[in-house]
Formats: sequence, structure tokens, C-alpha cells
Amino acid sequence: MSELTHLTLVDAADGIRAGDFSAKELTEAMLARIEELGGKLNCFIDIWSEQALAAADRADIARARGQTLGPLHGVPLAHKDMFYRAGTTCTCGSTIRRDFVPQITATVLERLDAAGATHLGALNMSEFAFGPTGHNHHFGPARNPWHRDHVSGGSSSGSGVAVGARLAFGALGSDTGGSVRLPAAACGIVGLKPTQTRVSRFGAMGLSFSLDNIGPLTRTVADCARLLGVIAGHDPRDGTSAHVAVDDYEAAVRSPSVKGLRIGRPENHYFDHVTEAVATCLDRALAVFEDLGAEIVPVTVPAHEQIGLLQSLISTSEAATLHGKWLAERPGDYGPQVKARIEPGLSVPATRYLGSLHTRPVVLQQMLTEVFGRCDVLFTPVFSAPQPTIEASDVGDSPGFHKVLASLTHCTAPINYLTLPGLSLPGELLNGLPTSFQLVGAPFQEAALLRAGAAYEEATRFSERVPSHAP
Amino acid sequence: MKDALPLATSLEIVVQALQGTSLTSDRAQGHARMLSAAGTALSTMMPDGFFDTEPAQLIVLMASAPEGET
Repeated sequence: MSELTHLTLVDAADGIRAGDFSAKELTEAMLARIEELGGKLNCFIDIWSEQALAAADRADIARARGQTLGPLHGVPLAHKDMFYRAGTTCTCGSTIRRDFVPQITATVLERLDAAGATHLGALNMSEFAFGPTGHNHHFGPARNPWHRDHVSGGSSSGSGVAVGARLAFGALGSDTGGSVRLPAAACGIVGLKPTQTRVSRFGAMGLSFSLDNIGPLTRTVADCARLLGVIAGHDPRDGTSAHVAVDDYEAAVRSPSVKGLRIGRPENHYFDHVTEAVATCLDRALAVFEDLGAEIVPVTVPAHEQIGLLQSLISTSEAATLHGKWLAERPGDYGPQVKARIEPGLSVPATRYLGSLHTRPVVLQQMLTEVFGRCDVLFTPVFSAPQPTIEASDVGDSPGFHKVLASLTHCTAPINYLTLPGLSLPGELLNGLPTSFQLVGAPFQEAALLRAGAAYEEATRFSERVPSHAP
Repeated sequence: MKDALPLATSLEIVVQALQGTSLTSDRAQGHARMLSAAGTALSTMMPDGFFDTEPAQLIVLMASAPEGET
């Protein structure tokens, strides 16, 4: 093990800036670790050793010349293989796009580049970002660094695994129904689904344009704040991106506190299917906040028996719109489960789809009044039960597979429907696997979530835990 | 009618025409259940039966939420 690979993203950036080590040393250490563990965990689709080392050399030369250094100068990252970079193959976790070479570069990648980040390779993901477990029919499942027989969570499976296993200092993922928060939770790291429209989606593969979000997966809350600060903000190339000012997220985590914070604990929906053992871990996490000075407030969330279904209707309809031609012409090139999930969207009546969109502002208004009128932050589980094994959850398109998948996104999908930011944080270990919980805020309240998360991290030091299958 | 098709066959043809792909009967039934449940969900949420809203209101609401930290 190299000490360098176990640094946090912020410490790695600070170390390069201070001259404690070079970007090249850091990159070489990371590539050696990827060589050792990447295959066992199946988290990379492609590794760009040569390019990463060349970029590290350029970063070191820039520093030696006294050039202005960005907040990620020389720090090697890796991302879900769905962010386009002109001239570089982007598979989207699929056979259909195995040789796809985009002509544009995603805004989020351009912003990371401008901040000085380098890139180690392309990470495994669920096919076309459609799957909560981390299985992939074409590239195989990414494996959990805490126990390789268990799922990594999806769809940003490789992002969760690579960051959890210290094979990248941070990663981007996308989240349409939980795809950043689920792998973060499964792999014991931090994952943030920002407010809808907070981060530009230009140049990122779409799945469901009403629900898609791009967000960071990192080991610490401070790392998450740094990545979000780099990628957030309006982008003229994404007309849907918000003009709302970007908060200073790093300042928020530098003064971690929950004193006086009202944390809402839902009395309906979110805890309905939580197992006893997971409930105990969630109670202990909540107790940490209480001990730090937060006030726990019971709340009732509106319309949640309906909105999970409506979220699914929207995502299926929009995905089918994007995939219609391939479904007709190349049906055999899809994995069975992804095909079975997207295909029904081809015949959803427009009135059902539009009805599902019409009710969004109604429910959001209810949430703002009835929930965020009573609390500042909502506390929910991410998973209701321990992460299943890869084998047990390999349900493909067998009868009942929808129920298995829906049980995994029970606590995450409603948040996409509601446009809200959700921060997934690690809880205690349960039988050697991380548990997790989610803090949800009103629109554009990411700084408040990060500040609360930082206070919890300071109290529990969860980010110092090292996964047993990636020592 | 001499050329009349059985209802099930007709529906299958309509669904296949809509989808441009084949659909197994299991999948068609699951899909029908989902559409029915979605109809019920929407009725529950809009009890007077009229959508006195519009989707773009979502953006206005999001922007009206307090900016900055709580």
C-alpha cells in the first residue's frame, strides 16, 4: 500500500501545491494500485496510464514554472464512462456504444480540466446508467471493496468502487433515481445528488432529462464540497442549468456544525421497509446528530405512495424516447434487464407522462410547506436492507425483477422526482459492510447538507475506515 | 365481419405498432398494471380531476426556495 493513495482528495491537492510530492508520484502510485486491485474489483472499463502520466508531467512543469494552480491541480480522478470527451471512446456501459467517439466534451469535464484535474480512465457503470445494483451484462459487475461478493450499487458502480478502494481521489456519477447515492452508500463513501439544474448536463449521456443529475462521489465531505464547487453553476450550453448563485461549499465544511439544526425524521414511507439491524444503525447515526446539538423533528412526507411510480413512468418514457431507434433496430445488443425496463416506455400514453410532470410542482410545494417548513434537513435511509450479494440480486428480466429493483430505490427515487439535493453518508459497519443514510434539503441547499455532513464526519471519522477487500 | 381479428390479436398488433418491438404477454400484462396504477396515483393526487398546474411551475418553485445556507 502506498500512503499517497490513501490521502483524501483535498490533502492530495494540498500536497502537490506544497511540493510534498509531485503529480507524477501521485499518479504512479494510483496506477500501481489500479494494476493491483482494478481487475479484482472490475471497476475500470478503460485505463489511460500513458495519458494520465503525461498530464501529471504537465501539471508538475506548470507548478515548477510558478503558474496559477487550480483547486484540483495534478489530482487524478476517474469518472463513469458516460461523460463525453471529444475524440475519446465513451461506451456508456453498453455494447451499442462500444466504439462511440464523441465530438464534444462535457462541460463538467472541461471544468475539472480547468481546475487542474487529471484522469486515470473510464469507470464501469450499469448499461446506459439504468440499474441500481451495479450489474452490467456486457462488462460484468463492479465488485464492492468491502466484500467482493456483494453489489457495488449502481448505476455509477465503478465510481463508488474506485473511490471506495482508493483507486481514484474522486469521481463523477449520474443520478436519475439514486445512481450516485446508491453506490456511494454501498461502498461506504460520500455521494451527492445536487439539486436538479445545479450542474450542467451538456455532454453527458442522457437517460431521463427531467430527472438526470450529475454529482460527485468522494471519500470525505470536504472532497465532495471541492468537486461540487468546481462543477456547479450555469452553463450556456445547457439551457436547463440554473442561474442560481453557487455557494461557497468549502467554507461550509470548514465550519461544521449542526447546533440548532432541525432534522426531520419521516414517519411515513422512508422507514417502511427498513430491517431491524439497519434501523439500529440509522438510529445511532441520528443520535450522533442529536448529541452534536441538532433537534430531531418528526415529519410526514406528502404523496410518497404515488411519486415513486410517477418517477418511474417519467424515466421509462424519456429513456424510451432516447432509445427507440436502437430498441427497434438492435434489440439483441441490450442486456435483458435494461431492455425490459426501457421498452414499456414506448407505449406510455402521453397523457400519463404529462400528468406525472404536472403533479411535480404540486408535490414540491407540499414538501416545501409541510416538510421544509418544519425542518431544515430531512434524514432518510438510502438502502432499507444490507447490500445484497451479486448473485442474489442478479435477477435479470426474470418475473418480479421490477420489485427487487424498486425496493433498492425506495428511498432515493422520490428525491429525483422532487428535484431536491440528497447527500448520502456512511453509517456504521454492519457485518463488515457499510450502512448509510441520506440528508435531503430544499432546492439549492447543498451547502447546508455538506456542513451537517462534515459535522457528522468529524464526530465519527468514517472516512478513515479502509475497506477489507481493498486494504 | 369476415376479416375480423380476435381482440387479443388486435391489441398485440396495436402494441407492437406503437412500440416497434415485440412484447411478451407477461411484459404486456406488467405494463398494463403499471399504467393502471399510474392512473390511480394521478387521480389520487389530483382529486378534482383537473390539472390546474403546469410543469414549468417547478422551476419557479425551485428558485423561490431560500437561496444559500439555512
